[in-house]
Amino acid sequence: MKNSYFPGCNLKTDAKGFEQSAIAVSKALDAELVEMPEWNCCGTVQTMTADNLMRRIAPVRVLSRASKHVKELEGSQNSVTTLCSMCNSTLKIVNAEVKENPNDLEKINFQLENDDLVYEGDVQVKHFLEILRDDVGYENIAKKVTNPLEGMKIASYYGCMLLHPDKAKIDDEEMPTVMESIVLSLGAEVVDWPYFKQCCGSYHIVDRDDIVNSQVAKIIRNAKKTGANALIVACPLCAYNLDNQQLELEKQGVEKDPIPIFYFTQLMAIAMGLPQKVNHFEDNHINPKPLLTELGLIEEKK
Amino acid sequence: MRIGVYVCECGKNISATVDVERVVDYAKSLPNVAASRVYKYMCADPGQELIKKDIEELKLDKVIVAACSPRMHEPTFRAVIEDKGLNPYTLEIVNIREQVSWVHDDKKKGTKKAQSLVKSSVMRSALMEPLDRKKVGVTHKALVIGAGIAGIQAALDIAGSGYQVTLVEKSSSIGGKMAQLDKTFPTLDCSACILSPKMVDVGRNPNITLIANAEVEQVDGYVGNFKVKIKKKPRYVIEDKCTMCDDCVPVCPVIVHDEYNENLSPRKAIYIAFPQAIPASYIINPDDCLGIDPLICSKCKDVCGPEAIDFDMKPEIIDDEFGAIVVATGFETYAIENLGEYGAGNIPDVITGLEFERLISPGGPSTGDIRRPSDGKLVKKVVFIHCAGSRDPAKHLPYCSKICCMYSTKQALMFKHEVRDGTAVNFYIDIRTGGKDYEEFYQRAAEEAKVVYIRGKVSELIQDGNEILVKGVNTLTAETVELHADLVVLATGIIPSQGTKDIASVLRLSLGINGFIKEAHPKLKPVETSITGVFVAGCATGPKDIPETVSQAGRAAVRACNIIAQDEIEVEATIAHVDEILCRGCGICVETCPYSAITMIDTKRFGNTYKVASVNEALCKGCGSCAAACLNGAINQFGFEDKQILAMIQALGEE
Repeated sequence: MKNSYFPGCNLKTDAKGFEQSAIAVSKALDAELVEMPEWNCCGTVQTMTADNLMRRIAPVRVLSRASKHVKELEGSQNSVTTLCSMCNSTLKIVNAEVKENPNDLEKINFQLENDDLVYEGDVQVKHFLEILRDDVGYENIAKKVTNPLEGMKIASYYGCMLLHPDKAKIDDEEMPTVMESIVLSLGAEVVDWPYFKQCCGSYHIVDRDDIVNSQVAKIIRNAKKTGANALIVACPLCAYNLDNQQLELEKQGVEKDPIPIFYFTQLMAIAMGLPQKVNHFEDNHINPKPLLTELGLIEEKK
Repeated sequence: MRIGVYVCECGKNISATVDVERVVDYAKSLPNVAASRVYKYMCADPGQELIKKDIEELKLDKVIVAACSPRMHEPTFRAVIEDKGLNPYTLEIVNIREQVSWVHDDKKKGTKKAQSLVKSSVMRSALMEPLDRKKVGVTHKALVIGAGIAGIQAALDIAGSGYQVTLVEKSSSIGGKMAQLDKTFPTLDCSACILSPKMVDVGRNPNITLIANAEVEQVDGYVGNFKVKIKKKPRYVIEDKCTMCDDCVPVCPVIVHDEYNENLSPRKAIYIAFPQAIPASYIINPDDCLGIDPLICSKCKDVCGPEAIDFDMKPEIIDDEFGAIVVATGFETYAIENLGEYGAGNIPDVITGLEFERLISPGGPSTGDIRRPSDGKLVKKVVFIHCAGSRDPAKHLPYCSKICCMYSTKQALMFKHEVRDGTAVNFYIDIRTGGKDYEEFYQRAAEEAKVVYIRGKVSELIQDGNEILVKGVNTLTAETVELHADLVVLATGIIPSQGTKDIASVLRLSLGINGFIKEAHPKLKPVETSITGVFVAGCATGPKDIPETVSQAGRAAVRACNIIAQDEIEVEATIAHVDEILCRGCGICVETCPYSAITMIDTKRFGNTYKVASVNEALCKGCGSCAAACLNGAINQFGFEDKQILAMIQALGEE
């Protein structure tokens, strides 16, 4: 099976480890992510103004190209897959909106005329987590595990975008299980913690990092209190805030002993014994290698 | 033929959108109309006298009243014409209120429509024939289903009027939810102290037959003559022999959750629901017991001195007949598992109001000390969340559960009485204290006992170490609120109980949009149901507090007595009848009839035997389904004959 894959901006810059580990994992699980051609920005923050169609042109353009790509891609289902939760959210919401309002879609398509491509409203948007849950299945993930993550106690962090709003959510907003189930199939321990959807502070990192710091402090403290030694995330912005600001908090003397932040695909790559270079751990702010070495999950090159 | 037409103004209800004078003038021009008049309130005494006088002086033989719905005043006007010697079934009502004035604003069109309807009724009236009143005998005995406070009160009131009543209860003891409560608002009476005497009265009253641990399986028949099948499950303990010595309990090896204590404490497979239980006898739950088989375990039987334990008991089917039925099957609370935002039952110290009742009760699992379930620590800070699952049309129940403001206030007040240095916080949307002395009770909690009230909803509960972090909003100050609590109590909403749903389907009662049993009229017939002779009391029709439930049970009892006190009662005269010559015996009417009133019988004609339909006059409700379904036009309904209906249609078509 192959999946048309929409990367988005972060996956090519700050979150290379997320993209490359995800692609490696997807190949190993026979659900390969194949990058769609000529993609553009997803539109980032979803506008809530109903008539601001300008802000919906970018996502619709992505969807129209994805629609073409899935038709050309052999063995592909009729869906485009994302890794970043923000891209997933924006594309899913806009997709639902234009399906509900054909008049809006017509107006947006008019703007895309020079592209020679219009969107018919015929593609589904899926997050890679949904592919793993619905198409691959947890048992098949477990079958590929050669290096079970024994000793890892993982708090799964969903953030806001994966669970809200209704049009974009990938799991139950109060009791999600998809990340926890993946953690279990990798042989790691699941930490039951209540801060799984607490906001990380999001874009406040640009101008009000004090807000982000207070959110990150709450999240990390609770994770440690429940015994976690690592967090997994599915969003480059969450990852940045949780990762970098822990060091910031340490510098300020507020928190100590930072715990590493992983993309869920990085841990999958380790558990499945895939080459370490896909993880790009050099991009992590808190070095995860000491923990992984201590638990005997990787061998540190001398 | 002399017809009188009487048009009602209904104050301004009708006259505002219908020109009644013009309707009267128009009626005068119609055939057979001997009198046509208007009056402000036709149902009032002067209006009725007007009709009576005309019948006498103008020798009318048919009367038409153009007024409100026949559901409102048909009985009133039937009595009026019967008083003057006319057959009550020759009365015709034209609904020009609900079907004209209330639904139109254009007076011209409204008047025109009223005129057309009057005309069609004049045409029908000429063809109406007198009908006989039908009477059936009555069983002088009532059935009460459900023995919470509503059922107990209804049974006591019926028995108190001198009639036999059978009280059926699903669980092992009567008492219902009220037996689980510690104290009651707004007087803080001990619930057991006011309920137990009534329970004992039920056990002692010679007019009451109590069948506990039983369910109503089937109900047939009709008002005055309900045939009921009751399934009594085996108790495995002979009630008369059990001395309640408790010797069997210590030896029983099975430990399960105690439902009476809301699963906060253990019980054995042989147990008594609570010390004041009626019937006063232990019971073995066969689902918990190792096997109801002396070969597997007979420890309880071995130690039982009075030899009260009988493993050979079998389920028993009791067939009986009743004149009237009172349904009092009560409520359940909205499951905490549905409330994901409050932990969905995964946070041990987030409990329901009913669990808190057990915690604070001296007879409860912690003998009245308020200890939290997770670690048994004495609670110092407690948060009550009102409307947990109520008034939330987006995710949960849309309606107000009515009693939660008061019971949360009561629980907070009791907590403050118990833990003087403790803190009790209530998060509420609105405080609703619509009951006698309720507002004063709330003021007392807030001002004297210093219970804290914060207007706003709690968005999330989070386990934070060994405390619970409560995240909410104060909508009066527009500030977010975060505070820690030892215990959080959810005032979960009220939903119809499984028993209510089950009995509604057995009896074929109509349900409202939220699943509660629907009253025949929300204001004037609050205990009557869609089925004559079946009444309802308590929370089966919607959330209610104890005083309201008790008064409703009293009315249900009176209404049941109204029926069982009579030797015979009148049933519908407008029933179906079969023209055997036209009937071809296809049986479509048998399938169509919702009351199983039609059967196929053999009839002899020209020396051959044919199958034809036959209507049971006592069972037929006159709904008309069969008359409409009959392909040969062989079934007609008294009072709604085809020729009458066709005359009406023709009159309307002529306009």
